[in-house]
Amino acid sequence: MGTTSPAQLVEQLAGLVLSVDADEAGLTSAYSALGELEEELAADAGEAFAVVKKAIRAVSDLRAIAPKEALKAVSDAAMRLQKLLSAPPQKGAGPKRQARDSETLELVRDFLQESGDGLASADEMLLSIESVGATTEKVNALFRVFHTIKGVAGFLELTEIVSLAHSTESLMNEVRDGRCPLSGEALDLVFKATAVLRQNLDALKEACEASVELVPHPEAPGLIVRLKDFLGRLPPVADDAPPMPVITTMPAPSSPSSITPKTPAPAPVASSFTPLPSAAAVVPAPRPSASIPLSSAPELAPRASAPAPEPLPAPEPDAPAPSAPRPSAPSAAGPAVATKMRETVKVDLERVDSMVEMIGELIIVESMLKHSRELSSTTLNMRNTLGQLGKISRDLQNAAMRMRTVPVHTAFQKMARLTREVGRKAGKEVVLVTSGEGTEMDRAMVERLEDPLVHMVRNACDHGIEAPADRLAAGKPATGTLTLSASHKGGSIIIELSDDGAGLNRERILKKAIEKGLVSSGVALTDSEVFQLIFAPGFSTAAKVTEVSGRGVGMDVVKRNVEAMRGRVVIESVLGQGSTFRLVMPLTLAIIDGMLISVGKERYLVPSLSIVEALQPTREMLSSMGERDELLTVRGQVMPMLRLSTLLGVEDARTDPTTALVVVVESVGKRIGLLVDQVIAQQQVVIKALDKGVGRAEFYSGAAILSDGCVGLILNIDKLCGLITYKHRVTSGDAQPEARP
Amino acid sequence: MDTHTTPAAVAPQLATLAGKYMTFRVGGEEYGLEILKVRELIGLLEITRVPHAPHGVRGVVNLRGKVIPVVDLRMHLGISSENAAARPVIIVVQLQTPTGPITTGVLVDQVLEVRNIASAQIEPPPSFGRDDEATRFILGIAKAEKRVILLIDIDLILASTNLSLVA
Repeated sequence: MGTTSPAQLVEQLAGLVLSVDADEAGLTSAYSALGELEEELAADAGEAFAVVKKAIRAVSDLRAIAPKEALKAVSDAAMRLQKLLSAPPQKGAGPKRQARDSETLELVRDFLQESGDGLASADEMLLSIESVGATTEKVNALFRVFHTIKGVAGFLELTEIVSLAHSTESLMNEVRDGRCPLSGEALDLVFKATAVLRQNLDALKEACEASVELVPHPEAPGLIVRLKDFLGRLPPVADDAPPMPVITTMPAPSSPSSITPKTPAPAPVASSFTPLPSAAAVVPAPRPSASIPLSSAPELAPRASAPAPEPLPAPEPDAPAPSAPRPSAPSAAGPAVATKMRETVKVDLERVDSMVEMIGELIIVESMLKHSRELSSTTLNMRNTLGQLGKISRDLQNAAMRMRTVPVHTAFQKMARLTREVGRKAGKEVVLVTSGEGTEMDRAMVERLEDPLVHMVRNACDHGIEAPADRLAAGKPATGTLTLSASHKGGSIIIELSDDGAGLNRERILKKAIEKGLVSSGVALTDSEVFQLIFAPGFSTAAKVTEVSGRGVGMDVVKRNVEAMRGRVVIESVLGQGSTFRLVMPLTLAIIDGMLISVGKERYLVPSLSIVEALQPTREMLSSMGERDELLTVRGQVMPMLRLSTLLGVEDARTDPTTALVVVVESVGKRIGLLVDQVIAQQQVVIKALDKGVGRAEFYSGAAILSDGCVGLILNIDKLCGLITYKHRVTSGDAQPEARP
Repeated sequence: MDTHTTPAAVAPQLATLAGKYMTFRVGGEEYGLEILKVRELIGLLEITRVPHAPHGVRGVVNLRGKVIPVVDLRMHLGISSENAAARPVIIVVQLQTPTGPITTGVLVDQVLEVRNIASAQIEPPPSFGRDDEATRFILGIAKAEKRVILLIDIDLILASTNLSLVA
């Protein structure tokens, strides 16, 4: 072998891809070309080799099923290979141009995790410094965060991150040495730096996942310049102020290649890694910083959870005036530091999921066993033992469920930061008070809740809280307060965001809604029905025009996200006193409470959350439009009635509605009646995805294993309700009363 | 598991079809399915019908907690459902697709054996001159002891049910 160079082979391959269509023959020759390349490249198992291997796998996997895809994989590979083989001057960059092998990726992943945690605690400390003042401890901790990030990023050759972390570290160093107070501009810069660093980390994560090169955050260079500028303006110090050489050599952001994480040759790995083992501990003990001008706040002595008696230093003129009540300002004592760290083990999420799944199976098998007919003839002893088994397996299930949950703390923390930013931008003073951060939720839900929370917080700051002057005029303290809380209630988790702002203006909303044709005038709507109007999709843009009434920007996003997690939004508001947005979320995404119904011989599950009521219709309640379309009147409300049997093609179902049952369901403000044979039972089921291989089964939101081991399909009520469209109609629907059976 | 299939597997020349097959019966004929794709055999579980599923999909079953679709080979091979076995068997296969591996059950009348089929035994499937749904899924015909075993292209069969949902 080795007669043709890799470069030539790649040429050949690229030509091949251009010339062939996605047919067998073309793919076969492409495949063999790839095979040759693989042999050629086997010697230097670098990135090119990985690309070839991937392409080979793609072709062999996809050939039969999707020739087009396979061809695309080959052409992508060819393009990538051409770049790889031509870009670096063949050797020069030799060891540096190594692929991001799995070991590096592992390090990057650890780095992401650690830095993410570090930045989160930095945020927390910054917020607490802003509200109760700096302490030596906090400043040192902040310094360590940036120092660690700089160290590890340096080792991973993430230049962009290094230079930003370095500049921030320099600033923190000045602060630590007492040459500059951490407030005003300095504080803002550090805040900004954590934000940009976090964005850079996110970008890095994406870059690694997509194995492309890191595109630095556009704000980063500017921020570094600002940091440098700020440092330059500080009174010069005689000795040890670091001269910041790194910044000057900072690469222009337009050369992304230099930012790709690369592994240095193995030798330096060992040496350069040693100085930074587990995060914080490494940094040399804080210099005896006797004089931190700002730390007039008492040292929060033994980290008591009670936020020190608020002897607010009020040092800087431009620091927000510490007005009015600031109960436990955003994590004043920093719960992360204050509470004893729980010991944790990192476990692959997949393993946890598969264990949860298996335990779910165990529960089902156990219940099958318990309900088996043979059991009645066995001894009491046997049944006792089975009872015990049941108990243990349910405990096991609870324990497994808890493994998936995390405290909402992280999401709340981000909101504290957001409040600060949005409040500043809007020229208002807003503080966020959080409670119940320890409430645990399914981790997937915590992540998905962040988006809606962002919208809600933004709205509350933007529109809810009035400008300081207006607040004073209304007899309220100038500083607005947002309260974000989480709690368990019944089988749900309640996330509540309250503000003490202007409240929703019912009249304005109604007026706008009538203008937009969402409601016909003259309809009497309850307050909560009116408030639900702000969730209407088109409403958001309209609300911007009447910015005083506010609320509505992105509110449809909130509602959609929350409902996608099978939760709902309840609004309470008093004009002039503020509003409360309450998200009622299920405990977990994995389990739903369903009503098992039967149609003919088949059984289906209807999510209990969507069910309004079930009833047996009388003759008078039924009417029809034309031959096929049936209507049902329940207590004066007319709604369409769908026969599940017709919809799903079930043959032996009951045809006379008066002998069957109607389950009234509701979604997106529409109510419909579903004609079923029987309601069998209410039960909690573990949702299984029903994605591959059964087509676009859009009437189902999933499947579940029923207590007898059979599969039951979960009806997608949104889709069923979506079958019905109205020409004109109040979009509001029901106000979703708090308590529902 | 890092090995990729040899280039030979890409070109479906008859020689490359040689290998180990699981043979089974559907209707009156004997069919063969590449053994490497077979995960396990299960006796018939209760199949839950999925209304509006693509043609050829019988429904879904509970495979130890996983919900997997079951395709009925009779529907794909154009065999009427008369004389279907009273106790059919589900062959669980796993295939690689662009969106990741798919596990699917294949409903057959009876599983026969696992046998080696040499390339000398295999002939190309004849074309009957029409665009026939059923013969499209046959990769080759193997002769074995006076019998004929039809080697089916399970990927194509499953892709056809999956494609019909994309359309």
